[in-house]
Amino acid sequence: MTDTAPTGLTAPSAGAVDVLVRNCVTVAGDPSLPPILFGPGYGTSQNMWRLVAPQFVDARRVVMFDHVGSGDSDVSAYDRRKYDTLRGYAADLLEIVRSLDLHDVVFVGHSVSAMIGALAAIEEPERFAKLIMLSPSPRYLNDDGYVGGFERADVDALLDALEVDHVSWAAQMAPALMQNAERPELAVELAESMARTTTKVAQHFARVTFLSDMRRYLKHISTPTLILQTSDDLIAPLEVGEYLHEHIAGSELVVLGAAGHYAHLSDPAEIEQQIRRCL
Amino acid sequence: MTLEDVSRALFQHAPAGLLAMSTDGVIRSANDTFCDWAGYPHDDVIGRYFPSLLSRGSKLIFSTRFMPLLQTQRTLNEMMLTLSTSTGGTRDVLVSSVLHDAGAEPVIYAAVLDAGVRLKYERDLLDARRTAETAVARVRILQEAAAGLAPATTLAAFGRALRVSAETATDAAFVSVIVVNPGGRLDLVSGTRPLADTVALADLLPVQQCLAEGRPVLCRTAADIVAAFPALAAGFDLEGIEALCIIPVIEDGTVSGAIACWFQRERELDENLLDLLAALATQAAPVLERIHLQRQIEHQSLHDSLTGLPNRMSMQQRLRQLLAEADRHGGTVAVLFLDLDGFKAINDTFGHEAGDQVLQQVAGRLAHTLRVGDTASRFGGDEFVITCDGVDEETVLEVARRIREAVKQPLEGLARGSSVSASIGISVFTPSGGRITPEALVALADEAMLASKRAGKGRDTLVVA
Repeated sequence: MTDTAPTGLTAPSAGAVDVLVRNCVTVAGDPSLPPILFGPGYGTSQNMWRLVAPQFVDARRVVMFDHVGSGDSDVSAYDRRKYDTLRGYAADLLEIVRSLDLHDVVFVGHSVSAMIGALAAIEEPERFAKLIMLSPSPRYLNDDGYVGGFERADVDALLDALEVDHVSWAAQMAPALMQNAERPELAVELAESMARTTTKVAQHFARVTFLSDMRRYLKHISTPTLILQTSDDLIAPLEVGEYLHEHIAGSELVVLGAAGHYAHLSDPAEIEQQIRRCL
Repeated sequence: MTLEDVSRALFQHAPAGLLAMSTDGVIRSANDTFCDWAGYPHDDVIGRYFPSLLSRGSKLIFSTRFMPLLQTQRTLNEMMLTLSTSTGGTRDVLVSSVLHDAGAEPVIYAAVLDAGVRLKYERDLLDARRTAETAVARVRILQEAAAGLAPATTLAAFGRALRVSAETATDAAFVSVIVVNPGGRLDLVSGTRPLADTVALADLLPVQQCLAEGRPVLCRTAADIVAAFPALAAGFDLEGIEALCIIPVIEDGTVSGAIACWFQRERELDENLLDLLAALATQAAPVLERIHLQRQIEHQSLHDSLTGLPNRMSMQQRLRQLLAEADRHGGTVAVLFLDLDGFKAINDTFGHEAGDQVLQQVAGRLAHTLRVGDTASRFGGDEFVITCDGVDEETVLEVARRIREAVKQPLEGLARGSSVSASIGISVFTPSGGRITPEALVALADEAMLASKRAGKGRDTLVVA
């Protein structure tokens, strides 16, 4: 493989859109302060950072966003070709950074956002001061000599679960939609169609997240990187943290006392303290 | 039994597993039913990380769906999970839970219901629905392709319809539609392709291989690309291409094009997808042949079948275009009207076939003598018309001189050893002279040619319009 960094993240169908609305970008804190960006993990929204992000408002310009298709983003902007690769999400992240004209960005990415942040920092390293990866994984599937933790069948089980969920989502949504509807039967159809869209997007994002292999990009990361692993993270086992540490030049690996995949919720104080160390 | 005893017994022996866990998933309390299902003694269950009792797939679901949804909604009904028991078996369960955070430390309460039979039924339903949906999606894509391809009369419209359908079918980052022209040259008729700045289309190995073998070329991972096309792997890597599939378009055993899909992540490329792409290629093949035939007919209607030169109609179109441009931007247009001297004698002496050969040879010599941008056409009989633009009188006379020189060389074929000469009349249009029609400019050159003939053949006469 080549040693030149990959280029051309710009997605096939970028139009004139308001990226701040599309990605539901929220900004807090003094605009003159250096920025810190929080990226949500798979299947979550910026809400997951609610216990950590506000702690930095005094010293930083705090920026949060949702990936297109998740949270309160504009789901109509979901272009399956663009988002068939994490590069599509990385292009969005760069658009956010550019449209707010951010420099010296500290990017804190949970789960899949850690790799999305890495792709963006590879593309425009001059914008990024630090990458903080919480529970990251460059590849979730096991491979020859590599422990990712999962097999293809496990990802299929997740895709099935998303599909089954959709029935109950539709059932949950329908009453609210029916309340003010003149023709309730149409509200049921609408709920079904909304749930269908949500499911299709969630399944596609799951495929892209869990079936991608980002290992070959790691050697291109030049931004100082802090890897935060939790002791009992079933999504990103310790071996994965070690692999990342080994393959990202000059990176630091910290194994947290917190357990699970959502340390920013279960132990926000420790995450806050780790981030502060880097500022 | 006291009420307290009954309550405790109810907790322990309820026909559902009951659990309390911390927000990071560590089990704080569990009833006997749950411990029984999991197959571990009570003490082994307490303090254990709940997802460690789940199958690997369910671990993924727990971490990426269960926990985030519970955090946002606070309650979660009947999520489908699979317990992994101490004996290595599995048990399908439905888990409902609430996030209780009124106290000092938030707690998750969960009820676990055995659901083996029901979940099997659900999965069967799921499979059936998925199969049906795949079939519907397939039909829709093929219908849309048919609707787009049927009215296509140009390669661009053909390419666009095929590309859009292939994009919908694959979600590929880039789709290129490539056509093999009757002359053998490759054209990218729609979409973009990787390595566009560094590798010529004809040298793009995966495409080349597909066209040569008439079989799909598949690379599902970056490693596949390195193994199959080592010379191009670095270039593909640079553009983020991690998988590719090239499907040939084949009509009557001849490969006439290809659909190339380029992916920016590794892709499974399963049978369903490959079948669908093959079906698209099958739909596309006759359309492509029809467009080629139409183009051939079009070419024939604008070209002289004997010499292959543009015919009179085509020359007039070209001349109209040149005059319009000269009118807009200023500039000159010249018409050279050429009539062969001695052609009739060859026809009479050696026969029509020899005459045809003479016309073909003259056409070939004209084509070689002209400057880029000049066009020679056959006007009829032994008359040719050459159009030039942006010339002054000196240049056009030089062009005429070179033509006469080329024409009078000894002939080959049935009339070998004989020769003909050219009488040429030239009309030159300059914008200062007002407007003129193509027909009028040709007529002027025709008259000038007759003047050359009258003056003794094998010479030029120039008039300015």
